[in-house]
Amino acid sequence: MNKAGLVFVGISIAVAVFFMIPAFSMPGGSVDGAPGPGYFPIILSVIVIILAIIQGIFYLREDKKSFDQDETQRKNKPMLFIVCIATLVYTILFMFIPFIPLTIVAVGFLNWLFGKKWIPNLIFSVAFTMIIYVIFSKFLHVML
Amino acid sequence: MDWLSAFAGVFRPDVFFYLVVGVVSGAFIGTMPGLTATMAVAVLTPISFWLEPACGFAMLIGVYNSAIWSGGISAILINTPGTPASMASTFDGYKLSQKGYSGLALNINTIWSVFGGLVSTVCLATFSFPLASFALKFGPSEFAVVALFGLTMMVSVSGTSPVKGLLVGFLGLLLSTVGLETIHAYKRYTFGQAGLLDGLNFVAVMIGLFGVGEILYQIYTTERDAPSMKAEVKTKKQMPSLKLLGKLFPKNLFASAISVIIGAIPGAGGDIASIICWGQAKRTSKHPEEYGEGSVEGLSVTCTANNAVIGGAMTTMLSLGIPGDSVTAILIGSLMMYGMTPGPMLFIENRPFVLTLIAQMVIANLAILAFGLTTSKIYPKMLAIKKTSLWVVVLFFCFVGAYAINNSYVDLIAMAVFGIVGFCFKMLDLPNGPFILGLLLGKLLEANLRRTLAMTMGSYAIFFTSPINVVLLLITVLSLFLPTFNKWRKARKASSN
Repeated sequence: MNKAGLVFVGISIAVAVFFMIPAFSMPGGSVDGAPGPGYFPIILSVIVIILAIIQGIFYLREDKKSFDQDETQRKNKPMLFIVCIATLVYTILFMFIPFIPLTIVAVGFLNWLFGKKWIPNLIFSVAFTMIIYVIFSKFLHVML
Repeated sequence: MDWLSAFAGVFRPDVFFYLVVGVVSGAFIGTMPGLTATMAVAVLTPISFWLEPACGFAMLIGVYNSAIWSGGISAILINTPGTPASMASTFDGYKLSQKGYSGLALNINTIWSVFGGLVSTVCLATFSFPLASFALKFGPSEFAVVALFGLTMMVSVSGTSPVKGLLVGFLGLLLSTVGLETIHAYKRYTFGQAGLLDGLNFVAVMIGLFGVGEILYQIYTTERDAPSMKAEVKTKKQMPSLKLLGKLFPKNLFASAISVIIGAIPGAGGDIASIICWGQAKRTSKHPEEYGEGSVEGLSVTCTANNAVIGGAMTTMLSLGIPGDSVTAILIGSLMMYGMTPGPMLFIENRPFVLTLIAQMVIANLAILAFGLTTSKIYPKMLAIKKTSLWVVVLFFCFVGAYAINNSYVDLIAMAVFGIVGFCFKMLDLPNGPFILGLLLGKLLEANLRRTLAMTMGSYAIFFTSPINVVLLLITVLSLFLPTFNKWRKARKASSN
């Protein structure tokens, strides 16, 4: 049984149901036979549920517990987790904190996590942030 | 005259500048193992939106061609393909390097990649116009079936289980229903967010899946304490002779033809083409025993095949609006952001732009030739750059790039979420391609399906009576079931033996 695969199947079914329920309350089709806005999401949701169930059966029959982790992956797992959290935190803070200080801290944090020494880290973080800022903000006129 | 002005347009200083920027960036990204051509185009696409279409596309075309070519460099020097398309270049390229012919191998890679690229561009120029004219006969029902055909072809050639591919593809289709629907402009699943009215931003999703997802996967699977990659290029000039190039010409011309056709099939990319061409060249070679041991012929056909798929993929993308691979899927997204819809109408409404694109392909290949033949000594230095530094650079380019598309936080959040989704897909061995294609083709499929049903008063019969639909549906069904049937037949044969 592939547990991770079954989680994916469960999420797929949940997504399909999430799309299907509001689709039933969308306006119906017109008299000329043109289906309404809910038609396509309902059909797709049903197909996704059917395919997810079939794939779920395959996962149940699979002789695999979950992700097969080797030594490197086991060692890198905490770091992956931290990077994922950092990614989400950066995304949220992007809306509230100015780009330059936020990015210098975020780049510095990731470099520190990856074992970069602090002086090269500081130089890299500041220089890289400024380069990105100049390219996007000054050159391409993105509102950072 | 049209063609002349298209070529003249590429030599406009600003267009040419961005084309060279694209070639150089593509060379860098393609050379680094783990940074793919798709990632390169995805990361640079948001920058291109801030430029006028000719400049933006010059950069993207430069990156696309260059990253595919330069994927062969690390395959040759360190036995690690820079992009999946150059996997077959390791077979003979690395052996040539070990024998002290790294310079020759790099030059072979450059010359034949450019040859493949140019032949495929000629095919693009030759076949895309008639194909687009033929596609003008298509009505909504044909376009709906073409969209379905593109999706299932990508599933069937993606190499994973068809059910997995279909499931992921239909999830992509389902997510394409977010935003204003195309017939009545009814809001679906927008949750009051204005940023979702146009649906999930395709480019932000692509950056997440192919950029952030790939970096997270590398963080998880790479040994960071491992020594950095070391490679050296023999400084002795090792330019292949004209006689050798002439000898290799027929096999490479044939490899180009095969690869253009493979490239035109949605989902079949350079990795498949180069392996097929390598196998085919080996079978017909006078010295098959040299293949895999450092055969110049073997290396040349794989290099040709890599870049020759680009023209094929671009042909389907431009004339039918169906992407041949992930990169052309992003290019479709970019065209749409510029207000152009790929497909037969593009050839009528934006004919000069199509010609410019083709001219850019030619000039990008010539720029690669000049750049590749003069810079072989810098690649070992590039390969010595620490992976962790690259991860940080790519990660933040993804963030800023996703935000830059529309100055929208919704895009940024979508990118971050799909980055994690992309990582999970890789871990579960789920193909990204069908998901992206589903997301991209969803609106096309839905709009045309519903238009067809409106025209036929709700009858589905037209899908089984129009000859084009019948042929496409037959191929669609065959492509889905033939691989499964073949597997079952092989398993049965093996068990009976």
